[in-house]
Amino acid sequence: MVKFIKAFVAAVILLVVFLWQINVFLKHHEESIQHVAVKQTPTGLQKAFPPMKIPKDNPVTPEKVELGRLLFFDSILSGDNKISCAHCHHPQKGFCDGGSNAKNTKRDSPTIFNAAYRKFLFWDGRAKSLEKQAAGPITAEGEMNEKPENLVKELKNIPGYVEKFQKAFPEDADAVTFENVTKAIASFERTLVSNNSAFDRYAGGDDAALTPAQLRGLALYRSTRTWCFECHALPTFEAPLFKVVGAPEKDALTGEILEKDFGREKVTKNPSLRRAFLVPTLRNVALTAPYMHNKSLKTLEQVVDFYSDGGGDAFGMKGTDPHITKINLSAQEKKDLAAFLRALTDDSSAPPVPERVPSGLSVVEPMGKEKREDIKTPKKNMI
Amino acid sequence: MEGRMKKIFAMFLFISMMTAILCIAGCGGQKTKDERAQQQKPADIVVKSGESIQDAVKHAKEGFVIEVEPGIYKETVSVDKHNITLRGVVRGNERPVIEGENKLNDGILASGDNFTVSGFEIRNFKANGITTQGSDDLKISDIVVVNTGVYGIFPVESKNVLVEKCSVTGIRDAGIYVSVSKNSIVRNNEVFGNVAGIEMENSSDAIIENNNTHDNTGGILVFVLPGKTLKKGERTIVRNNTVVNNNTKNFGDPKSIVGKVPAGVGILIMAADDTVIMDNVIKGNESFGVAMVELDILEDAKRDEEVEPNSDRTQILQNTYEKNGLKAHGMVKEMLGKGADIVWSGTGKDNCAVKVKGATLIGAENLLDCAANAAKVAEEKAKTIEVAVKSGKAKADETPKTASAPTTTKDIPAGAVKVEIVSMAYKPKHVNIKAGQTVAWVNKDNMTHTVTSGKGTAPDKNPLLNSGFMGPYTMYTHTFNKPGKFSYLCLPHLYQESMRDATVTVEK
Repeated sequence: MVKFIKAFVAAVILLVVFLWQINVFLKHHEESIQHVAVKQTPTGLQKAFPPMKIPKDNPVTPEKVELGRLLFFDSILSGDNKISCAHCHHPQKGFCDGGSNAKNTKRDSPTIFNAAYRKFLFWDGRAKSLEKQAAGPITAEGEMNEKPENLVKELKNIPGYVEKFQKAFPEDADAVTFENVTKAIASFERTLVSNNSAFDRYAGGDDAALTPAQLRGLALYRSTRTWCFECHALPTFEAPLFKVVGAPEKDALTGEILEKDFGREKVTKNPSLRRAFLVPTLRNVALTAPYMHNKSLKTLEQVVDFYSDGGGDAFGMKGTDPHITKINLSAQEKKDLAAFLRALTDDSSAPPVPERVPSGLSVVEPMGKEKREDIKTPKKNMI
Repeated sequence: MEGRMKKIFAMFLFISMMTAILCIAGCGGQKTKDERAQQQKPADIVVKSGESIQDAVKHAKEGFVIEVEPGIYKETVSVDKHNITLRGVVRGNERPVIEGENKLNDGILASGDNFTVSGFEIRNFKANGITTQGSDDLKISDIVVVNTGVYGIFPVESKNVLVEKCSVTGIRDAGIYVSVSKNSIVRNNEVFGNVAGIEMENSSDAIIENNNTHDNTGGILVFVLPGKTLKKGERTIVRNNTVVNNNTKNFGDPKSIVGKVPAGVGILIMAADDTVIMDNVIKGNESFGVAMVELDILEDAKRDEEVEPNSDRTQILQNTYEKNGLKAHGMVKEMLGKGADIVWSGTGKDNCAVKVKGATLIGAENLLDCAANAAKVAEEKAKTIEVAVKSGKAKADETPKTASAPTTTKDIPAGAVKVEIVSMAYKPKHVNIKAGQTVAWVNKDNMTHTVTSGKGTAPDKNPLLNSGFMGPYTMYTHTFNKPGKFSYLCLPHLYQESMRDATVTVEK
């Protein structure tokens, strides 16, 4: 009988412990949902980025990232060994050129921030991977104008590079190849992300992150008054869409008539896509002047004016998107919208400009901090 | 005795298990009760006439009910928090009015999930009455919308949408407009005097039912348009609506697609697939009762090479038709010379119609007969949409997908030390633990990160910590058995100071 009572007591204890454990389990279960479930974004404005596009045959490794970074800043990649990727994609100019290469190319150099998330690359979308994209400007006549075989020959003569290629591509017997140049640059570009702007902090629940003007601008951005949000969609502030907005074919600063560019039509042979261009990201847009595919507009204020007046419709451009209409924003609304666009700046993932590169060639000038501030606020004399 | 004890143990184990099961079931029941209680939950904040609704939203926490007293509120209200209820107090003919004075752009802008709004009048805005972007589990009911510009009620990119018992009038584009959404119900609304009454666009799995759409330019539109991120519109069921006298002259922007809809349109299906039209009363629409056309009719389909421009597998089942197509307008008159009850442009695959006796047909005489059980199949389909919308669990079946994420949503292990990845930073950046303890890294940021052993910008060759790419809102855990100081970084973000030289210090 004693044994029975002992057994009974033991069983009761067991039961209590068991129930308590279940309780603990349930509590943990609840807590974990709170912390890990998709729903628990701080606000509805914070959206998850799509998965980064990484080709199976080019996983990101630190060795490749480092090699890609050096190649990116090295003028050895150009035919005359005078310009590097960074000349048109300067890390301190939002990975653009600030318009300094205006004479060399008819199209604006797009930012590289978050390019790793893009479905299409180039203004006309002719490349679908960073690897394919990287080959373009290196070999383009009007740009870096280099021959792949010549580049490989040059790189093989630089011991610093041979070793770095071998480390980055250990499975390749002949690691120094043009394909591996593009793979390394693409890997480096996959580290250039931007998602910590003032807007992101606001979306993350920090109510004080945006100024009242920026908040009004955000409301305008999301309104069908402007339709900004549909093409420049959260969280990337772009969409894989080709749109005709009818950018002026005249330079707003010099008045120079710019070359006609039919954009996506040339790639697809589809006349409905005449003057259609890939929707660019607005992240870091304050750093990436000049604007539009042909650099025709110089300030965010000019861009806001352009859309307020009805895009290309204002000067008789045909075939623009149905959402491009004259919306007559007030002066205050224009200011607010521009203020919001300036809340999309985050270039913290940009690496420092290296002091030297393995070729020993000179590297782009780094910029001082004070210069950066200049880019952020509009210059009065630019309009 | 030994055997007996075993038996007793077994019995108690059984009882424990049963109790546990009951507890779990009970807890489940508790939850539904909570949900029910929440529906009738008293207000957490009451907004009185003369105060600001936006201020209340600013101070609200998740789950708050904000009650708004009758009065005139001249403001735009943005709701980006989750689980917010905005409840207008309706007393007889009195209700709160959100007034734009034709100066403000939008009445309500929302992005939070599980957003419920009811009991307001919204009037005189330039762009929108209510627009929501990316709000899942959205409930909009008993809203009176008058003259709010381009759209009345406009959810975009939502999952599980309910719009009911609303009245919408005076809208230059679409009164109720659901775009790029999944699982939507639009029911029991009165929609009149707009260009488009109800428009379902590039959306899937929708029910449009028991609405009274009258005196618009077009009553109900089911469209797929080019240039949107979602390239398809599928499975909309349009049933039990009255679609009457939609003959108002189009007063929309001539450049917009809806601005091109001719007057006299009852129901128009353009480029959408698997649409079902059943049990509607369709009366007095001067161009046509129901028409089924390809995208090129209103918009250049070639603008978007990923859109299939034809309406396929449409089923026009039993409907009541009366005096439609008697005075065709605009392009209907130009293209066909006259109107009819049912019009088919002849494009698309496997479209069918029940050719109701007495109904006038243009092109529709060539349509196939519909399957005998089509209505039943549609009703079954509608039930699944109803269940989804009612569930309020848009996110439940959504596991974060990343290309190579080795981690999944799972419980944080008991006793684990948590490090969150928020706004491009490890928080806390440095943790101290005892040997044998586990660290759980929870990626609460909106993009992919890694936890990879390394110092500065140099990851280790064979990293001890090696999370691989962690998608947004996923977790990675590691148990540290040996003492030491372990530093780590984020592979894609190693140029950001906040994402490198983070440490775990393990003591004996």
